[in-house]
Amino acid sequence: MPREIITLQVGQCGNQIGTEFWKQLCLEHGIDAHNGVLEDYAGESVSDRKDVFFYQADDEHYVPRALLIDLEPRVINGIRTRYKNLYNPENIFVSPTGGGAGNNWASGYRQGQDHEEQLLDMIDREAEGSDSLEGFTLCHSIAGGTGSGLGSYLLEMLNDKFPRKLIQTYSVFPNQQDLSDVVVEPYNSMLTLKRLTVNVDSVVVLDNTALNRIATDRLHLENPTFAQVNSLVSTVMAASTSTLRFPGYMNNDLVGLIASLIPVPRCHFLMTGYTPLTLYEGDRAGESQVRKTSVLDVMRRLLQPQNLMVSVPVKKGCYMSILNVIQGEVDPSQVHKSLQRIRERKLASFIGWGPASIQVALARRSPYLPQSNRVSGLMLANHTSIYTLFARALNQYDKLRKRNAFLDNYRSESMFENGLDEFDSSREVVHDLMEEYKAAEYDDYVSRVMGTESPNTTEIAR
Amino acid sequence: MLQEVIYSLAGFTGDVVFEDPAPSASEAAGLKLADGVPILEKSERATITRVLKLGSAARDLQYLRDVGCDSLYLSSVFESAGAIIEKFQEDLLDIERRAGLELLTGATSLELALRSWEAILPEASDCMRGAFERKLSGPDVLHYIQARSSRSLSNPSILRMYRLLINGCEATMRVQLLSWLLYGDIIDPNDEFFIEVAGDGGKAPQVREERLPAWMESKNAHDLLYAGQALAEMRQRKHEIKIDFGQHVDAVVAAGSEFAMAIAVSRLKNRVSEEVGTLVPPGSIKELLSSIRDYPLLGRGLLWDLFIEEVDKSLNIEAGVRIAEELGFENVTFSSFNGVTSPCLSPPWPLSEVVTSEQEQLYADVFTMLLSVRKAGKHVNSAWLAIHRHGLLLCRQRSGKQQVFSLYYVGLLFALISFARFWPEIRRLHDKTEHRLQLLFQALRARMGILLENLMFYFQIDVVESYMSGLSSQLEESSDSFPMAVKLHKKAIIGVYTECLVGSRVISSCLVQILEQVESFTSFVSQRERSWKYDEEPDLGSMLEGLEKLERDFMRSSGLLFELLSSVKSVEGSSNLARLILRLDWNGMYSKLTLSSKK
Repeated sequence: MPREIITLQVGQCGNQIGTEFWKQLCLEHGIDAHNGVLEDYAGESVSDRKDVFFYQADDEHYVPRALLIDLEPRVINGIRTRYKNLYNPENIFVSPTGGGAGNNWASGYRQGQDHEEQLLDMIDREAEGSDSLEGFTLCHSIAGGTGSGLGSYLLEMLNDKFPRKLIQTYSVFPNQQDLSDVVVEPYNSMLTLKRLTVNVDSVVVLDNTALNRIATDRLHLENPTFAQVNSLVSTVMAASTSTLRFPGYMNNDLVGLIASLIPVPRCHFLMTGYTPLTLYEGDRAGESQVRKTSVLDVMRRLLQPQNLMVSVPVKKGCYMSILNVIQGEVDPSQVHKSLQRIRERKLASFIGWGPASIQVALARRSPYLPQSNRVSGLMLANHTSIYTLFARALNQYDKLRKRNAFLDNYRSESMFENGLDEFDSSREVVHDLMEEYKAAEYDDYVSRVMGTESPNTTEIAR
Repeated sequence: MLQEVIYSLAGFTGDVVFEDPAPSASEAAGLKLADGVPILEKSERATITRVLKLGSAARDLQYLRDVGCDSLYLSSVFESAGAIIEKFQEDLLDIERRAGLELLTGATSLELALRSWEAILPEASDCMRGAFERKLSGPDVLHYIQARSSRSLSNPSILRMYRLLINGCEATMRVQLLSWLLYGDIIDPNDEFFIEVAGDGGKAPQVREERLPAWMESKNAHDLLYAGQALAEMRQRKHEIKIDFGQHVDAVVAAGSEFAMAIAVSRLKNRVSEEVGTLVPPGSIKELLSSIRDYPLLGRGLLWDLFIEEVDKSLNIEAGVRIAEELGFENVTFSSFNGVTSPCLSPPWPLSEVVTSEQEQLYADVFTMLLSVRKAGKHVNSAWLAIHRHGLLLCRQRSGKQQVFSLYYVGLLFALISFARFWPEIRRLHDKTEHRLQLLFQALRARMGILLENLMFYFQIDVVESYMSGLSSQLEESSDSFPMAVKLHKKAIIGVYTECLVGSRVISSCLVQILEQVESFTSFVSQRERSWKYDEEPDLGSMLEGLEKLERDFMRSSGLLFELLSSVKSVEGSSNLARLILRLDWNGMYSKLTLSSKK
């Protein structure tokens, strides 16, 4: 009885990172990514749980529990050509008009409404095909039209139709350093951020700014391609699900994994770090930039800002929680020594209003994938400084909104015909979110958010 | 006259020397010289009286030998004493011959001829009579004789006599021990041997502590019991046993001291264990131990999750047991009794020597504790989802409310309708109790979650995983030595049991209290969840009061647990506990808590 997870990949970015993710999963489970057939070298003796993310078709081929959704056919056609027999053709949705969302959140959202029945049918069919569905994972970008607009619509729908199932997203945040081709990115981001705040249980933030920085600074790629950056994302996605797919003794389910990371409902935006990074070229792992790894080395690197996949000032603020997924042959005593060293050197500061520490999950590695490093690690962390990311988005949004620039396309959609209240509401939600993260930095967080003194909870903080 | 005395010494009394009293169960024999024998001078009379004492002793020994007793051990000693009497009789025959040839004349020369018996016979008689009157039996007879012999170390002839008696006793023990080892049965009509083999009752052989000789420790007796049982199993399997039992049994029987006995028994046991090891299929110990580690101890995969889920769903522990069976663990099954679930390992012989029934009980205790912590952790995670979702709902309602107010300015009628529709929600949002309740739920969930998560990490990774992987590598190093494997496993399970704190009553009860508080918390959440789901209006005030009390109780209990763990850590210097404490108190929350409670 597996805890199945259904992956929805929405829009160009969502489908691209989703495809990289499935490619990685196929490699790790010994499945041929082109046709879903188990490779000859992949025996049954490996106690992995393929059924969390795959199911077996009648002909015993492994099929990803994935829904590929886009409003224009270009990316999905590419996937169809490359991975002809991997995905279930019934799980692919391309808008019949094929015109895309034109980087317009409202258009994506409206098209979601238009195709609600068809989309819901696909999700229902996949959910009913699961024995014990744990939840949904959605991959998308928050800046464009389809990933953000249609993605937002899907999030609301999932929340409504599956109230007891977890919803996690891997959300790609736009690069805020470079000028974007999409001028309305701040609008799309703001409207999506509201859904990510109120409709999602956990958001894994993948900041394009940081991803590009890692590709250039850490991997020394002069002009990183989309495929290379997506490979970084897929590494993180695969590592964060490794304890679910190669079960150990703990963290075998998604809820167990994220419950410890999210002490406050609204503060569920997680940042990630991974080390040592290698790029996969074809089916082979590229050369690692790190020659020698140890648990301490990996855990120390994970706390370094340059290894984080989010561009935020982590030196300021504090961690609400950290979960390090350590992969490889690890002696538990090494973990302890590393934790001691990190604590002595005060490499990570935590909130003072509740219990918090670095949690460690030891994960097994795929036996099929050659590893160039003895130990590798993924950090999932909830840090208060993530609000700076929202602050930047809010700032950019305010600049545009002040001038009411580029709003015509939105007004032309039925949702905004009667006004732009939704924009204001989204802004308010994001602003409140920022304030909550800021408040969480203080020891008297509880009384701050309560607005009154709460004797029992503040007692501990003091 | 001399002939009369010699005949009486040989047991044929007459008028000159008569028997008074005749030997009986309560009184030793006495040979006496009749009064008024005219040819004897006073000094001769005294000499003959001394000589007759030897005859009395011999007579008494003969009596005891003829009468015999219920004890196999004492009887065999009497038999050995018979050899002394026979030797005495031979000497008397020689004396009689010499007297006939007039080579021996007078009482003094007779006394001189019997001088070598002067010390032996009375001592032997006294010793036998003492054992007889004390009604000694079993190896206690041996102990008694050994004790007496140690008091006569200065006299070699007495020592030789005692050695003879001891040999007789040891022979019985040797026969019984050999019989136990070679046939799995004991010739023990009078229930004297310390191992009891039941007849047809089907009862397993057992050590009878009350029959243990003083120089044998209970552990040695159990080792001998084990050796016999293991050998019986091997015989049943038609295994050709290549052990020189005679040598080992001789060493055990003749040990003579606790220390020597312990060494001899341990050698025998190890030899038997090595022989047993030849019947163990290669790799089966590791397979068994990894099954135990993965399933009942660590619940690898989904075992515990499914187990808990099924039990929660059907409120029936058998459902969980069924799930475990469906998952098909070869070496492990589960049973439940009175609501307590235990793994049934019961490996087949000879693996049952690695995981004995006592160790199985230790595993069961550890499993019960681990499962209850895991169950509580799972319930807290489920509570997280409910609380989290409600928190998000409140956020959604707040943003919905803002829209409602905006719409109010756009169209009064629509706003009125909406306002009416959302009024209960808005009222609830403004209810501070509701807000406070939600925060309390979040805070308590986080505290409980982190405590349980860390406890699970400690139990599973720090303790179980460390001990079991240590055991695994030690087994590899011990290069298939079965006795070593048995020993290493025993050490490991005791380590796991101790470090999992199952044996500590204070810590266990504190932990049980915490787990009960977690269950109370999850039932609070379920209650609240029902009211969210069905839009009921529960008494928030009393719920808040209850939750606040629960929070106080939990803080107290978890603080106490932290203190207890810290004190155990400092007393025992456990590095594993140090790891747990470091993780729990990373940001100093528990230290502050215990400090404030002390103030």
